[in-house]
Amino acid sequence: MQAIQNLGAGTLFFVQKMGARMIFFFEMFFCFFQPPFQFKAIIKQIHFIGVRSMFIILLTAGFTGMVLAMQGFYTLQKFGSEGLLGSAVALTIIRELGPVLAGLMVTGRAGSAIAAEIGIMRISEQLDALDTMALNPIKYVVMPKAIAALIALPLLTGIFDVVGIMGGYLVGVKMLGVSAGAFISGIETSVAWNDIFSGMIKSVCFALLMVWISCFEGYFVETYHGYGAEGVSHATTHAVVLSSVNILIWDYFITTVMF
Amino acid sequence: MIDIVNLKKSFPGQEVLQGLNLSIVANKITAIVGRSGCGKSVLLKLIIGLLKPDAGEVRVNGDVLSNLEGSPLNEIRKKFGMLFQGAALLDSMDVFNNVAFPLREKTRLSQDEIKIRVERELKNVGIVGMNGKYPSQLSGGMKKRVGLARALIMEPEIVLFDEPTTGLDPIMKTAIHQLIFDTQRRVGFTAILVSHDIPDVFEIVDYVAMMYEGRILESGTPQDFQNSKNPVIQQFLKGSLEGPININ
Repeated sequence: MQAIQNLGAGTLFFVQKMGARMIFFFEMFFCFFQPPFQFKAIIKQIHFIGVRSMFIILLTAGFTGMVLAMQGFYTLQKFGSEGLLGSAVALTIIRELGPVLAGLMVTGRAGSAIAAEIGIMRISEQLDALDTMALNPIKYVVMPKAIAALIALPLLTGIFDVVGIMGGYLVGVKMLGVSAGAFISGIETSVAWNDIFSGMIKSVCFALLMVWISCFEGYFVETYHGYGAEGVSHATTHAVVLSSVNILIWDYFITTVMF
Repeated sequence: MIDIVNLKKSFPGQEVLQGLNLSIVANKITAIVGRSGCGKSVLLKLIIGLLKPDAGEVRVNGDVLSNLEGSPLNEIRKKFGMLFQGAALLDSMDVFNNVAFPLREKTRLSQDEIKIRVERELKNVGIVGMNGKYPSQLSGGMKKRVGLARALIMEPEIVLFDEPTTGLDPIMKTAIHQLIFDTQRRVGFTAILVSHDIPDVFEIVDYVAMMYEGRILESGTPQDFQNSKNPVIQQFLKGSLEGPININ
């Protein structure tokens, strides 16, 4: 009997939380179109999510491209197809690793900070204070972060792609002796606009997922994670884990639809 | 002006308000007193619409606030200002911008006009030369003063004070009480003040209402309240361990 009760309570909690997530998403979405637009806040958030994530993106992209070229080279060498290294590195990064790794890195850096910031605003009653001033906290706190993520993550993905391919070039051409011409022409012939486009679509979806989940976990910290510092800590961890897992799951579905 | 009718509110495992009725007199200061955890802050949040009641209603000038959401609720909230227990200043903004924030977002005043009004309001609450300080750099008393300036900057008709003197030294308590009293007399807003400062708070309020077991036990002028024969009120005023109030 207890097991059935627990199952029922768990199901109700899950359905209620999913409903709350959807309502939060639509509230966030509708705020995109409601003036006044928070241009200064959006630029500040682009700086935080985009510019301040640059170093970690450059580092991750460079080493990802390098290791990809190294692994790809030894695999392709077995079939005598080292000339395909450029297209293998470029396609893997542009279609898959660029958007996914950029999304995961930004989630780890900015998603956790977003959840913590909004969570602290909740427990210190700053969100309530906005409400009492007849200001919508979702519009003033969440919306600038959402728009900034939607602008910053595709740009970071583009940078990831370029730096990743450069890393692959460095290892493949300069270290392992693949012909520079074969490497570049491989990229030129195999990478289509559709590949770049699909990577960008993925990055937009991942930005939306990351900001939606992170903001939700912070915004409802007391409802779903408890009170005080422990609640914020739990919400932050939850935001990062859930965003990362969702990025990987949705990557599969988007890839299935687009290719 | 504010009528609270049969208000009920529960949280998991706890029935906080059990049919509370109270009328707040316009343009006067009403203190709500009661034991810690009896639901005074919950009542304030219900009055301003931050929480929804399980039953009953809050009427502000005849409008049932507890039924409203979105824009209609925000229209009524424009009449309110609120000073939170911890001041709830936006911690990423300095003092000036915290106080200027409602003006920037809710009015079309020029930067010069905003500057004049913010500096006037900060001067009224005794904060001078602190414009560039952040909330984390302020003492508890200063935060409350800045919070008060922010609550008053839009010239609200109703101001809610949630334990404005908690955690302050006796001198600062008196200063904040005097500030609330002087400002209310000067501006004439309706004030609802949740406080534990018994009997100091009686010196500045026009009415007192005591919450007990989810209801208003008694309300009246401070003199009526202090002369009450009710043993619960007498025990509360004396701070005695002996009496009908169960301290566990």
